Amino acid sequence: MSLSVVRFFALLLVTLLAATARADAPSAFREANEKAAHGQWQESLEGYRTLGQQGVHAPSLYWNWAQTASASGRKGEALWAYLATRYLSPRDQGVAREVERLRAELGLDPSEISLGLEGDARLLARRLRFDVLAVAALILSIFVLFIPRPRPVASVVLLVAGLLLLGPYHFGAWRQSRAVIVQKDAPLLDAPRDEAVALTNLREGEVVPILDEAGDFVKIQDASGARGFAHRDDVRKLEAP
Amino acid sequence: MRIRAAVVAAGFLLNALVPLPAAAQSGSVRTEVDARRIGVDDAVTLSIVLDGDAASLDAGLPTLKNLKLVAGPSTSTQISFVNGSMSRQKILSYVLRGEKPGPAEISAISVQGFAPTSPIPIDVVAGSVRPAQAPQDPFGRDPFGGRDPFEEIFGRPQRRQPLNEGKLFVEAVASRTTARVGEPILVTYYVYTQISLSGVEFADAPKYPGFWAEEIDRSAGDSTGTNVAVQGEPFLRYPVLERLLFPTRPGTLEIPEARLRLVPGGGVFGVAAPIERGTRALRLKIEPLPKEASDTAAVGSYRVEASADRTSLALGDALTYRFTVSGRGNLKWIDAAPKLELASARIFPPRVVTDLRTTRQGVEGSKTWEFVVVPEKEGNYELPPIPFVFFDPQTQALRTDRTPALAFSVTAATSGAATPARRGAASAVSLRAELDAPESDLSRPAAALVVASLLAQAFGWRRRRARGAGPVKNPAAVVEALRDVQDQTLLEGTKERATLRITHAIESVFGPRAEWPSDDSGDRLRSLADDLDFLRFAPQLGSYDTKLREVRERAVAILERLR
Repeated sequence: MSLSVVRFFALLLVTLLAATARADAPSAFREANEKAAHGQWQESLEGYRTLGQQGVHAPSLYWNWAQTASASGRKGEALWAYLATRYLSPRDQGVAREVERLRAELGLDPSEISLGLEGDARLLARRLRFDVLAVAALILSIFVLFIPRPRPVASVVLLVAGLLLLGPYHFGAWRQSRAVIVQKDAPLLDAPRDEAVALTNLREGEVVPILDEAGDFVKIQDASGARGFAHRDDVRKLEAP
Repeated sequence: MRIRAAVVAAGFLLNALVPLPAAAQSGSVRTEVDARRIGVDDAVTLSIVLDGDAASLDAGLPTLKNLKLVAGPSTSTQISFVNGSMSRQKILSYVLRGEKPGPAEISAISVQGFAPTSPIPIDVVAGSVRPAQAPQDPFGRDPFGGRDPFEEIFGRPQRRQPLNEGKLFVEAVASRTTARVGEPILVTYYVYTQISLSGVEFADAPKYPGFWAEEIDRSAGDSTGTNVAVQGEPFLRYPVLERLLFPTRPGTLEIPEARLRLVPGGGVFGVAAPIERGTRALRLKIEPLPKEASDTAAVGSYRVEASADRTSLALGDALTYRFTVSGRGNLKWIDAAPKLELASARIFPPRVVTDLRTTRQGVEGSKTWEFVVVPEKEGNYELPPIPFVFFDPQTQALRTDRTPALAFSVTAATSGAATPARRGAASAVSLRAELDAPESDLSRPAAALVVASLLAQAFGWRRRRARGAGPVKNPAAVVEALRDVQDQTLLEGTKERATLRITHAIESVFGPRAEWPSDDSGDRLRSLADDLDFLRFAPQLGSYDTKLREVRERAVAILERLR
């Protein structure tokens, strides 16, 4: 049996397992919710984490995750989960309110949970449904070329408008990767080693850009300008779930 | 530069006194009074006598019972060389009075490294029982009884300046000649002079091979001079530099000679040529620490403390644990953080906070390691005792001090404090029931539409290019039609004939008007044809040459694009 055949079957197996896991997702989600409702925060969080690892990307999953993390005192993790919820459901007013509440509880400035210029522009575009407007403009740009009296100039204008509306989505993809500090008083180290010197303590919930990655550590810069290494367990990346 | 600055500053402070250390291997501290029975109108003099090594130390006023301080302390020091060895003595004198008749007492005093003195009982009675002081000789050599009348007037002590023809030498004195590795040794550089000096500096910075040297935090009054007698001769003596040395290795270590450059005052212009003097090299015997101690072990007198900023916390919160070593010794040497381990908790590298100052007795203060501890589970925890091993020079033995174990508990956090009255009593969280779908994102389909639109633009452009200026029915007739329209004789005839020729030329290429397309190119042809019809049928009321030329140029332009 050639190596490619083995790879094919391995991939098939993984896909099937993932599909099976996702099929069980609703029941696992309910189970985690029950534990959260009974105040079993740890077990509930484990359940949500497992679902997240299985590729379940539902706004309600991250919402419940955030609620449970917040109730268990893990406010940094809660903020991260709310930001993930906001990514999946950008026009959810409840998420926006909870993010604002948590930001105030953590004593963070609005700029300290900013996703950067590109990230914020993308969020605004998603809230205002620039994608729908862009689709409409692009369909029109094609349509006016094929009417009995074609309008090539109007078509080009509509094409450019569509491109501009899509800009925040796709230029935002080049933005610097960001992460949320999920551990209170996590140290910012001068080197990517466990025994390194702690330069300062990071603020829980702060959104920081990831400058580099080195093994179990990521190089970050906090809002005060301090730059160093944080352990991966202390930060959680903000990315499309 | 700091050394030189300190030395020069010391050289100019020529008018005050300072306690005198002297070279001796042993010493003693004792207290004396000149009377054990006094009246309330009498005074008694208390003398604290510091001999040998003790002369480099200070002693405070002991606790007084039924006595009050009237004056003092006045300090006198004596130094003498006998057969090449030097002995020192410092006496602190206080004048005391009884407060009321009855028993009084001067308590014992304790100076580190020396045996404490015994308390002195004094009996205070009414009136006066001491013989009157002998009257001062009004015709003596010093009509002010040894006091300087300018001292009170000018607010600064005045000293009798030695003659400039006097002697001058320098000396380095170690507070001890034997020590253990890590034990502090105070080395003081003195200038003894019988002449006035306007400046003192080291020719070269002193060197301390085998030692770790610390600069002493000195006050302004530390560089003042004092009157001493050396082999019966009076000198003014100034400490010009003090260094606290910590031996880093055992053996016989030598502090090399240090050379000082002394500038006498006076001369014709107030400045004289500098004089160089050298100290003698000092040899110190350094003994190793006990075998059980490491080379970088703490040496001194220490105590350790541990504290935590809370005894209970919610899961996810952090606890700050502080381990503090305080005392006196070589605390600056201790760099390694204590080892703190706790199961089911993350412990971050500590932050070190130091509050240290260097005195003549050693490095004093505290050093604190702050650990951030983050428990990972709920439950009860106990931070274990942390031992701290050090060599105690007083007992000449290794000692181990331990912090107490600190217990704390970790509970599941409730949202009550953070989100008061926000949620219902039944549930602490606002959960959502079912897995829902993310909001649609059409940016990717839109990206596909961008590609489609671009392809459509390309298709349209190609089609228009293929069509050129319009639907050419007879491409072969283009040249002929162009030639006909550009003919010079076209405008020489009537306007009807000219427009008719142009119309025929256009139709020979593009066909009849009914077949012209409905796009921009067709619009241009129709516009041209309308103008030709207007010119053709318009009444001849004036010249139409200009309009005719313009129409012909448009026709030429349309036909030119087809070539």
